[in-house]
Amino acid sequence: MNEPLEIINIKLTVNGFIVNAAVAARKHLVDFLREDLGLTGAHLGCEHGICGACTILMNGELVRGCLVLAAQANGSVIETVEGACESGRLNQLVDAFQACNAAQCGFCSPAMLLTAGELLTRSTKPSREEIREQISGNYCRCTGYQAIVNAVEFCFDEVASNE
Amino acid sequence: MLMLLNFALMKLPQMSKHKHNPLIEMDSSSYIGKSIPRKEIRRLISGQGTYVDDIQGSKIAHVVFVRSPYAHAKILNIDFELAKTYPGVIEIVKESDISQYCQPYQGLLKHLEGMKAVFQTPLAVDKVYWHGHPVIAVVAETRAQAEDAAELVTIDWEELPPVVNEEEALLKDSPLIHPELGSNLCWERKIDCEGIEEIFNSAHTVVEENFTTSRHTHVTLEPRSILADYRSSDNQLIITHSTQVPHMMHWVVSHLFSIPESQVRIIAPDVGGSFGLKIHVYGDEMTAIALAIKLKRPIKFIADRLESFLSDYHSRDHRVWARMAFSEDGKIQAIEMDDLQSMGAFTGYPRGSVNEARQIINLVGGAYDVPHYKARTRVAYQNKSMYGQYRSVGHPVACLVTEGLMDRGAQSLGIDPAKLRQINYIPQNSFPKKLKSGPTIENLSQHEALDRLLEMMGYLDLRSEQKALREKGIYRGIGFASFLEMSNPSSNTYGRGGVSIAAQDASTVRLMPDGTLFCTASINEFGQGAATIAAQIVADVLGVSFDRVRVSLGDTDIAPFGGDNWGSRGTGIGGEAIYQTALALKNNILDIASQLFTLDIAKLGISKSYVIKLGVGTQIISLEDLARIVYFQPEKYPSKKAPELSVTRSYAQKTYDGICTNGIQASYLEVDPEIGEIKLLKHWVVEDCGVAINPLLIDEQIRGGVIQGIGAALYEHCIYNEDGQLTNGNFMDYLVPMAFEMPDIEIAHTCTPTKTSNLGAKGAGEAGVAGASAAVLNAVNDALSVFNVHLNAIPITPQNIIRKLYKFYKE
Amino acid sequence: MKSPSFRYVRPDSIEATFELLDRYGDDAKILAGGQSLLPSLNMRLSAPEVLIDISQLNELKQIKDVNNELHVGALVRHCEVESSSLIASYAPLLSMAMPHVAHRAVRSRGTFGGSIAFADAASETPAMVLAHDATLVVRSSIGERLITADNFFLGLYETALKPHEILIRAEFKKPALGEKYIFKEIARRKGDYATVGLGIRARFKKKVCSEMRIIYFAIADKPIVSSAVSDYLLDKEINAEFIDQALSYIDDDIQPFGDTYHDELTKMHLMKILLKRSLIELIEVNRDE
Repeated sequence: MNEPLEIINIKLTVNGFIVNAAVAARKHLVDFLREDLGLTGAHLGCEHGICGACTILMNGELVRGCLVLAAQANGSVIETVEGACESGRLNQLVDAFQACNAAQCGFCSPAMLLTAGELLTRSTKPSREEIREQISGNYCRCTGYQAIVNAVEFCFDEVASNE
Repeated sequence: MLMLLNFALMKLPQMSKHKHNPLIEMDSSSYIGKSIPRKEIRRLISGQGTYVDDIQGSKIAHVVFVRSPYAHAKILNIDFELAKTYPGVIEIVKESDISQYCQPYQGLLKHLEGMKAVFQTPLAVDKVYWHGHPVIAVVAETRAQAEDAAELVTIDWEELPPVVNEEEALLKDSPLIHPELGSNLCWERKIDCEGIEEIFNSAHTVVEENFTTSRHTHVTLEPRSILADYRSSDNQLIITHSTQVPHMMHWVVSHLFSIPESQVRIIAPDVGGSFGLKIHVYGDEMTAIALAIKLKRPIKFIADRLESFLSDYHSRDHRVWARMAFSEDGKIQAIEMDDLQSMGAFTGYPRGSVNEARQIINLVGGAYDVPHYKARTRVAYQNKSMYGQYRSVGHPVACLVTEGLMDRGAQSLGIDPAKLRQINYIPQNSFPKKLKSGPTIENLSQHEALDRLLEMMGYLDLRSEQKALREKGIYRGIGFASFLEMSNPSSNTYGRGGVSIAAQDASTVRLMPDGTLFCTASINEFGQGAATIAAQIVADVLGVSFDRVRVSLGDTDIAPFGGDNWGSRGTGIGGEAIYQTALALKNNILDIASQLFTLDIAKLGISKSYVIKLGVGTQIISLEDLARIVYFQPEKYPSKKAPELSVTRSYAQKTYDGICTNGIQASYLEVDPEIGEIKLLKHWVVEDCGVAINPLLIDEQIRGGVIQGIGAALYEHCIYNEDGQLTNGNFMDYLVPMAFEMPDIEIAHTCTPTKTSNLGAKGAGEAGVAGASAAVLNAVNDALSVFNVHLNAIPITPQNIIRKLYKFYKE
Repeated sequence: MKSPSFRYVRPDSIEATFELLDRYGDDAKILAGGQSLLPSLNMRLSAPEVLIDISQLNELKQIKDVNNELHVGALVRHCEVESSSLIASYAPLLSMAMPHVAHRAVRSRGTFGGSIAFADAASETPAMVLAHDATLVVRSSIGERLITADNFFLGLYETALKPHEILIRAEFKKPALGEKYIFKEIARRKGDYATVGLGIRARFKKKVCSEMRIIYFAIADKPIVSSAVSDYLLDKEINAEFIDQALSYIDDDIQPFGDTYHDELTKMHLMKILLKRSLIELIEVNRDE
């Protein structure tokens, strides 16, 4: 328990499933998800913790997966984009991304979806500036960001027009 | 040709609201010109994309490179014996261990007079020529182990003086990077103009400036990635490659590795951005392929972000002196320019590293009626990273120079900058127009685009607002940038120079037994929407629902050979090939139907997956039933000539060097002069790409391009020190645009179809980048005009503004 | 890049933590939020043998009022600092600074104590801890020490923490009535490390400045406490003229360091403008109340 080890036993919940694994101490959470669990939706764009392509949800909060060791995730609840989409809670945003062409090469998109998805829980429509602030930690090189902002607005407008 | 002129359908979606929900099943079979959403977005954003690194397996081994820490050095000794013993290590190689697999290569365009280039090997041999030059490859079971082992490799170096200043590189006494070439000058082109000196001397107004655009790089979010697999039993190479150009790579790999082309397969899976990065040949990627052959194991190489900065091709490194002469009424009399490009240590293979310079000398002043033009461009070798094409190759620099001078001229002459442009555009009645620099422009819509832009912007109101705010000490600027963007290139770019890059594209469309359509083509998808465009064209021509067309791109085993994507050729050339293929298949289908039912083919059409009688609309036979007859019951088909339900056609643009597009951008921003901070308020683009197949996709391409151009204008710079070392090759120190600082971009279009194809589509992918930097630089200068300063370099950092404005910097 | 190998341990008690620190000394590094340590490992800029993950030490996660003093535990995360009303009333400059710290996903992991111990000169938390005159409580197997913020930040990435010590918490005295606060920073992009930044705490008697504490950050190897400028402004009814004069003392306060995009001259210029704007805003805030 208090002995430093190179291989760490971890038990965590990923997308609703309980996972038991033995991981190298140095392996970060994204590599664990991608290589050990085949969840390749989180991408590696830098491993410096800046580009945001590795964003996932840990205990309900957005985190940079490359800046979390798999060992540190012991006992936590992880949701990746695969789990989030499977749950259906982002369906509206997925539709909106498609309608607004808010993804091109798609490399940043899973992370962008999760990050922008946090805004959907708000009761009032965020301003364009607020949306931009929310996604500003996620690099996108293709869209120029505007379509992503449009997609979030689209969700709120859709809800409003359906009421 | 003319039957497609229903482009009145080209209703563009509003910026932030969509009046129609495009997710509603498209019932109509008219798709060309419609903003159809991309199917694959759902797959990509939900994490179901397959990028090269997503392909995993225990057989795959990983390669990591030991790279030169110096810009120029001799390799004295290499020792990797200890590294070889590290757990997980499979092999460690230097160049001599792989030279039997991969030939050296030379990036040379033979039709460029005087171009000088040497051969290059994937790994360095006796010398290293740039900071990051790969020397040793370490292969291990995991990337982490390979990196561990790489740290145990020791190399003894003897540093050599690096050549890192492009001006000094061309002086007589400069050390030579490649002594066998006799100089550091890679290529030079001059355009002379007799009598131009007198014109400048006697002109009413002459403006002059030294512009600098700083070296920067593509920064794709997915770094360069390759997975090479060699099947020794049948001498087959299968390479899964994050590439923009699988067909070019197909040819390159086959020839460098001496494996017949039919034995090589390149597959581009989902590609996480390219913008021209992934069209070049990289020594580290070639090494990965050599290792796959040598070790008979699949080898994966993923460039991490640090090595991306060091080893990706760089771009846009220019110093341009230019001047423009005007008459009193503002007509351009002459332009003279001298461009010096700083490239890398070797010419890029196979595209060379001089196309940027080529485009710059071709296009400075190009939008305007310029009676006299004198120019020179030189490209100098440097001990820096390899250099080559980045989206909108050369155009942004040509635009920055031209439009910067136009604004200077407007200021000196006291003429409104929009007006000055209007009076100088190439007159509409002079197309096609051959520029003094060589290219011929088919047709443009510059006056119309400008009018549209001024209206969209509310230009006069903005000027009033600017004036009112200036009195309150708030400094806003408006910057225009008219731009040309060449697209749909001919073989003049490469083929004529002996370079094996295709100038034609081909497509195959096949009617399946169930009446759906399968389409493949020699263009590729990397987020811009090529697959959607293809499906739209096929669905439109063949009268089927968009959902009944599947498109497969990027696999050289499936797609016919062709030119891939670069130079904004995908829709204009690839799309035309697809269009002609679909038309040919339609004709075959109607012919079959006319034979089966003894009907006049001229009276038949296809709608909603049925062959119909035109006019009346009676359904004759479903496509499925027709296909089933052809495939399963050919005895029912009367004619002796076998019916063909899988058709291949090709298309090449041979009329012009390239099909020129035009556009104009405007930037509205606010400068806080005390702290040099720029706030981007709004950006507009009016662009003409001829027939727009999918306005939504075009607009989003433009937006992405504008933001990249803004990145170049404000943030991006590969900073080399005096020793030739890249000092900021990481995401902490190399800045790219983030969402918070970026403006909304409003876009409109004018439409001047090209007559060189049935579709009439010109290219659009690069237009956003072409004018954005110039628009921003001009806007900053407009904002600061009251202070009587001019910025002439990008990126415009706060320090650059402060240096211009504050006395403590003026020595 | 991939991190070099190390061994990892997540002690379940502070005592166990100290036992490990004593055992491994310089070969070990403390892992809190990991938002600074892990990038440096991923880029192979450091190679510790042992990582001691202290994230299970729940006693370090509290924000509480103890006898009119605010105790902020070292493992409180930036997002918790951001949303804490206690911190907003005891140490408003910290609250004001949080939205400028990187981005959401980093703030959900990065810790208050981690940022203080790492002592990046461009970082907001160390500077605002200094601005609020906090006392840092550090502990080792030998015992506990109190270090004033003034004495804690020694240089670039250098603090008064000894190798076997960990930061337990910071303690903030309840602010005096009528304290005014200004936080400003300039950054290339929102969330980036500051180009220059400052925090001001001040009190006025009517319009006369009775207390003034100015902390400059992102301009030297550590956050700097102003003396020349703040001394000049004391006991004055601050107006535009005094502000201009005060700016001239800034050279006595700071020996600037340049960065990738800003040399020393630019940095000093930016700090002067930031200070000017801050002081103008300060007198407006004071006037409004």
